[in-house]
Amino acid sequence: MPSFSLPQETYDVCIIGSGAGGGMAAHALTRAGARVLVLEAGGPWDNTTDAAMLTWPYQTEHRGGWIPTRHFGEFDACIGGWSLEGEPYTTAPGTKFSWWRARMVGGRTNHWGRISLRFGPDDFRRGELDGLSPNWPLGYDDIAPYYDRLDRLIGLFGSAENIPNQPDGIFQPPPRPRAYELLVMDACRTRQIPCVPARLSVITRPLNGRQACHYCGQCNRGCSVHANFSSTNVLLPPAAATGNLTLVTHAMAREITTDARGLCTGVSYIDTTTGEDRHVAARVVVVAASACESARLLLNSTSARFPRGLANGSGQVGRWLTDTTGTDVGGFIPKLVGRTRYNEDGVGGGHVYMPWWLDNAKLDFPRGYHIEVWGGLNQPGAGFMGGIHRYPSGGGWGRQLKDDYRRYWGTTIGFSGRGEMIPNAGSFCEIDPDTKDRWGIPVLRFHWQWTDHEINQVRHMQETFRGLVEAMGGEVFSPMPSKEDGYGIATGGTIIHELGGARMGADPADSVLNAWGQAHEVPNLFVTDGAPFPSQADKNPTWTIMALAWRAADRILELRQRREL
Amino acid sequence: MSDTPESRPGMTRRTAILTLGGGALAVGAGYALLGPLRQKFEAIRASGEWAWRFFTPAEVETIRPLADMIIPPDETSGSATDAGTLEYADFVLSESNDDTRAAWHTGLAWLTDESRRRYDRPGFAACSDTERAAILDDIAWPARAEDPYTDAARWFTRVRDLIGSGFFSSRIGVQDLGYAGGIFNPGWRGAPVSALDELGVSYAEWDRRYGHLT
Repeated sequence: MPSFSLPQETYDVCIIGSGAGGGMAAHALTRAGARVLVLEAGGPWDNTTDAAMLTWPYQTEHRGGWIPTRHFGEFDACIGGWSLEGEPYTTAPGTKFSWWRARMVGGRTNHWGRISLRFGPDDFRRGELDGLSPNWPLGYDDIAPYYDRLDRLIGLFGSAENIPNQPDGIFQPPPRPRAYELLVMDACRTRQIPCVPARLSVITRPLNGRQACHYCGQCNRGCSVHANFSSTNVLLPPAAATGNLTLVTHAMAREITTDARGLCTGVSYIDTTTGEDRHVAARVVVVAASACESARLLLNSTSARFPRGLANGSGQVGRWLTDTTGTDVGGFIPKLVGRTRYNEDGVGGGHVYMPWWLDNAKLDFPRGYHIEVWGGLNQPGAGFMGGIHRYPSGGGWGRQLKDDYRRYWGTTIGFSGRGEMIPNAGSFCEIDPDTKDRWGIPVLRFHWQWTDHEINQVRHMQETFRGLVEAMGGEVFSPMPSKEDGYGIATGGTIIHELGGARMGADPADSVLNAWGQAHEVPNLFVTDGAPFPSQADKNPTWTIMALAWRAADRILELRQRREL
Repeated sequence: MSDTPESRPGMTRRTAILTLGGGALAVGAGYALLGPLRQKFEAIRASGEWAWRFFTPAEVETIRPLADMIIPPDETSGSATDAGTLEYADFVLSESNDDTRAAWHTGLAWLTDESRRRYDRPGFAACSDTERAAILDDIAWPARAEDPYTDAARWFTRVRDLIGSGFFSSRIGVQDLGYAGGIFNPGWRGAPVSALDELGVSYAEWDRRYGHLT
C-alpha cells in the first residue's frame, strides 16, 4: 500500500473525472511529460480482477438482476445508477429527466455499448445547413486526425462504407453477423435501409499489448482481458506508467478556486471517506466530470469575479442540454421458432447497424437517427423471457409452457432508434437553491422539454421498426404508441448521452468555451467531456468526446510550451 | 476457469497507479468485494438451510405445488423446485417493492380462498391435480381471462414470469435450453451452416464484401 500523504506539489494539470474525457486528457498529458493529478469521485476499479465476466447467473442469488448499486444488473461493470444515496438531483415541475451517474475509476466508460462513431462533416456545421443549432467552432478536418489517433490507440472494428456524413475510420475486421442479424440485413434490403457492420471499440485483433476479443458477449460486465475499451484499463495504465499520474479516488470536487486575476489555482474537493475538505493546487484545470456534473461544478464555483459561476459571464453554463432521442420496438419472428442452437454470443452488442440514410427535405423532422439491432440466443438470467404471454400461446402453464420457453427463446428481434435532439432553450440544468448533497454541495435541478422535432423523428422510428418486423414476417409485441405518449420517446437522460451545458463557440457572448474546450474567460480552464458539444448527432458521442479531449490536451501542451499558460 | 487466457498483457491499474485519499477502501470496491452476492446460491439451497425471507410457511405450502405445475419435470429436465426456483423467488421477492410484495401475498391468499370456494379444500395444496388444473386454466391466459378471474390472471402473469425465469436461469434450466455461450471462445466464427440454411440466409455476400475474420 502506498503511504497516504496529501498532495503537496502544484500539479501542472488537475483533471476532474477519470472517464472518457478525463482519461483521454490524462493519457495525452502524462505521456507528454506533464505532472497530472486526477480527482475521481468514486472508488477504484480494475476490470482485470473486478469484472464479473464469465460468471453464471445461478452463481448468485440475484441471477444477474437489479441491485441497488447496479441498476443494469449486478454483473454490469458500472457502479452508480439513476439515483445515488445522499446525492440527489431535482427536476422542475413538469420535467421528466433521469440522470445516470457513475462513481468509479473510468466512469461511464465501464458501462457503455462501445459504439464508436465519428461525427461527420455536416454535424459540425448545422448552423449553415438548417440553422436549428449553431455551427461548431471547428470542422471535421480539425478533428479527423484525432479520430485517426484514437482508432490506432484504442482500436475498433468496422467497415469502409463511404456513406455521406458517416466517416469511415481505421477499422479492424468486423465479426460476422449472427444468424438473426442476416435476416435483419435481408429485411433492410427490401426496405432500402443500409445495414452495415457495427463500429464498436472491441478489438478483433491484438492491439498495443491487448489481446483480441473472445466473444463471450459480456462487454457490459467489464472485460478482464481488456479486449474492449474502458478508460480504466486502456487509458489510465499507460498514463500511470509514465510516472506522471497521481489518481485520487473518493475525491468529490466541489469548487474550482481562482485568484485575483481570475485564473484557476486548483480544486477544492471532499474526501468522501472522511468528509474532510481538501485542496489541490494546479496550473491548469481540466473539467471532465460528465456534462451535467461539469456544469454543476462551474456553477458552484462562484467568486466576486465570477458571481454567476466560473466562466459563466455569458450565462450559458448549464444551457442547451441534450440527450439522444430513443425508442425501441421488438417483435416475435415465427421463422426463428425452434431454430438450431449455437453459441450466438458474439461481441457485447450488435454486429450490424443502420446509419442514417434519408433526406430530411422529404421528412417532417430535421436531423437523423441510427438503428441498433438486438435479439439472439442470449444467456438466461433474471427476467428471462418476461412477458412470455405475449407470444402466440398467450401464456399457460405446465408442459406446454415449458416447451414454449424452449421454442420461443431467441425468436425476438428488436430495434432501438438513437437520434439527434435539437438543443432548445427549455432543456437545461441549474443549481437548485434549496437542495444540497450529503457533503453540503448544492445540487442540480433539471428542466426538460421535447419539441415536435424529436417527437416526429421518434414516430418515424416506430413506423420504420414496425415495417422491419413486418418484413421479417413477425408480429410486434405492442401497439404503436400515441402522440400523447410522444410515440414512445425515451425519457430525457435515459439514453445516457447528455451533451451540452458548457458549449463551445466562436462568440464569447453565447458560448462558454472556444474551439479547444478552453474557457473564453479563464485561459487555464478546459472542459473535455460532453459539456462542450454545441449539438448532438445521429451518433454516439464517446469517440468525439475523446477526440476533443485529446485535442484540448495538445492545446494545453502547446500553450504551456509557449509559456502562455 | 481453466480456459481463461494466461497472458494478460499490460500493466494493471492497481499496480500502476498510486492511489491516494481512499484509505483502506482503496484496496478495491470491485465485484469481488460484493461479498454476499457471491454466495453460492445452489450450495445454500442444497444444504437445506434456506431460511424463508418472504413466503410464510403457509405460503410455501401453496407456492410449492403451484411452481411445479408451472414448470413440471419432463423428459429433458426437472421441475421448478428441483432447480431451486422457490428459494430464488423468495429471495427476489424479499427485496422487491411494497406493491410487488402485496400483490404476491394477495395472490397466494386468493388461491387458498378459491380452493375453499370451489372445492371446499383447506388450501391449494390439498386440491386434487384436476382441481388445481381447473383453477390455473381460468387464470393462465390473461387475454382470455374473464370476471371474476382478471385480477388473479394479472397476478399469475407475474408468477409465471418469475418462476419461469427462475427455472431457466438455474443451472438445470440453462442446460435444458442448450445455451452454448458464456464461455471464453476466441474461435467464434458466426453461425453454423445448419442455423443459416433453416433461415434461408448465408454469409456469402458478407464474406465477399468484408472478408471472413479468421
